[in-house]
Amino acid sequence: MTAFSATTRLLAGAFSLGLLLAAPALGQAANFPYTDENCGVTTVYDAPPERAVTLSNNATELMLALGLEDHIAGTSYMANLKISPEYEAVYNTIPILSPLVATTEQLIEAEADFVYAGYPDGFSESRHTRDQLHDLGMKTRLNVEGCNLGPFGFEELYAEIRSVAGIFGVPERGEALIETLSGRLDAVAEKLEGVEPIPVFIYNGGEAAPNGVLGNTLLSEVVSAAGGQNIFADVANRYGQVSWEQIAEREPAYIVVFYSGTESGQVVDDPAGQLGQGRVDMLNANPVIASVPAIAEQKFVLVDSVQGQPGPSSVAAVERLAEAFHPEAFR
Amino acid sequence: MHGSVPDPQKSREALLAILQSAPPAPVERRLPGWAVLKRRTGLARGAGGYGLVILLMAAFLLLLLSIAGLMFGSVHIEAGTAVSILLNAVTGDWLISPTWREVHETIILQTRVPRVLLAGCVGATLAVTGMTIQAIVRNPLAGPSILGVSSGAATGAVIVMRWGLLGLGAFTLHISAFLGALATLGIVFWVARTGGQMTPTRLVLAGIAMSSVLSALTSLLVLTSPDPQLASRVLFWTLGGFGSAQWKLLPLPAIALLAGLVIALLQARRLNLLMAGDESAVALGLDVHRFRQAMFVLAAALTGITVSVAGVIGFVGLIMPHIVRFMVGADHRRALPAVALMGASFTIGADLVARTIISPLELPVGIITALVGGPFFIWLLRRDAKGQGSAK
Repeated sequence: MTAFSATTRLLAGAFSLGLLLAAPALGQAANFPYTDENCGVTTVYDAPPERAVTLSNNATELMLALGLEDHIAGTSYMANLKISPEYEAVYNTIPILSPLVATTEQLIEAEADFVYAGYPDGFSESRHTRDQLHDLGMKTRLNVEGCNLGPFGFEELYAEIRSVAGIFGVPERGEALIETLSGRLDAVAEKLEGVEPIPVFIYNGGEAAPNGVLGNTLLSEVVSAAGGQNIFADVANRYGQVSWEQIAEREPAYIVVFYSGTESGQVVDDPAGQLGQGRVDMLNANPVIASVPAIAEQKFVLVDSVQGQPGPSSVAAVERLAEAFHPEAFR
Repeated sequence: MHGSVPDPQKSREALLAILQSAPPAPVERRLPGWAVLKRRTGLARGAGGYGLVILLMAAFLLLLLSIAGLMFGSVHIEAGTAVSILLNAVTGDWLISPTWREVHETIILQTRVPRVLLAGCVGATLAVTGMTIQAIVRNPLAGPSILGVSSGAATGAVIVMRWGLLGLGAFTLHISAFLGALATLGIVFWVARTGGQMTPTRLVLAGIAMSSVLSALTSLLVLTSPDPQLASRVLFWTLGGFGSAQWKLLPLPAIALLAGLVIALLQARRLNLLMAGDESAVALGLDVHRFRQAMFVLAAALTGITVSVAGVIGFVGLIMPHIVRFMVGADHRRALPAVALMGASFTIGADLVARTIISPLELPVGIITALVGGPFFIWLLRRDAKGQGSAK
């Protein structure tokens, strides 16, 4: 009899302990399985990934903005650019797998279970396809700007944030981040109320023929939110060759010089100097556009790919560009 | 082929003269096997045991390069560990028990082994294809990339990616690459045959023209596409590489290589006949026209499949047959297995260079094969130009 009651008590105890342990698990299970539809690839998550690897700076920042550092096994493709100051301390605690896109071998060595790319070149036959990584047990996501066929605005960026938050089972953090970012955008919009948008050329290098950042990029929308108007917003593509004559014709009042940390696939030692200032010098040396207002008045602003690629720092880019375009509104 | 002596009325550029001179006399003089064939059609005599030794040496070289291919990559793994992992995978735990990190085993077995195998299959297939094409058009300057076939295959694949025409399932890319290759080969031969006979000059020039048109078409498709992923995907197809090698992609190129090699070997005597000249081949009872057509389709299929798994890798199919004929003679019964081994070694070696020279970055392997193959092609032209000069 005593033995029976002892067993009962033990069972009861075990049961209540089980309930206690199950409570947080149940809370998490509510978000899972989570189905991620992304660029034509459907991935089902039964639990949040534990060893994520990012393949670009904007992917890294987006995850850090969601406070997911404990789920990151490594980052890559920062080249010699600097991560935004608010993420710097946490970023430095995470292994950097490569200054360029981490290779398949590096992903395997990091025991990655989730690979997140911010640019379309993160996944391709020349490095690793998503299919190939799935076969190696790694789930993948590509920032939607990298496969999008139309314009990509802040609503699309918010959707990207929601998806990543969903994959990691932290939808509330996603909503909080979106609220913060949209609040900052609203503040800029308030200051800019009533100002006339200025024509802006977003220059992505090229000497013989200029490479422009076109309409289907978030950077184009960033310029709009900062009180500018991308002079090539009408071209439905991300990047592309335009002509000096077109720039002379469209008379930009400001030029955003966009640069990344690499050139021809190689890491550049001093991106701001070699690529950023280097491109300004190229613009100044071109006789065809010498009379364009932006050149005549030396209205340049440098944006690297940390702020220029779709991620939480795109909002910081809006704040910087708005002050540059319309200093009178911020006095 | 002797019918293609240049018309003295027409003044031609140096290149044309060189190209025209290529098949008959000069080649006969410098490629011993070719000369032997001319005299003793279809005979394998002459080299005997010497050929076997070369085959064994080529196989040994291939083995060495394959093992070297396992040792290098963007993650450093000790050479001894790499070999131990491979031995362990083949023989099981009783010989060598695992002392390495499991991830290193995954890296060796899931990325490096398939990569070496894919590079070997593709190289061997391209070399066999090149040798077959050179025999059926009796032109030492022919090869899958020179004739525009590789570009055609790439364009076929890019068209499918551009419009997402994946209706035929998993093999859509392979099928479209094959169709692109076949269509290109058809056009090139149609152009080259204008006027009743197919001259080597016309053939090579038609191939060069088609290559230019097709690469322009590929660029056009990429630049006008709104899909941001297309550009980085197409770069792979136009420069080639083995970075995306996986076990599940291997059966197709492996079957293509085996089937291609077996078919070519079964037809080796006929290929020998053809290289001796159309007249002799017809005299000995070969339906030259039909045989050529059948071999064209085979060449297009093989090229299409290699392009669909590894992109366009140039010059392998052009230069390997020359090196092999120089070593073992032109008898296809011996030259075909040798060219397969040498082609595999060449691409595995080129891939090794491509991924170590600027490690951890990788170069597209097509850059390496072109860097080696381009100068070889120029040397071949120069050599024939000299031969032409002294023959006059």
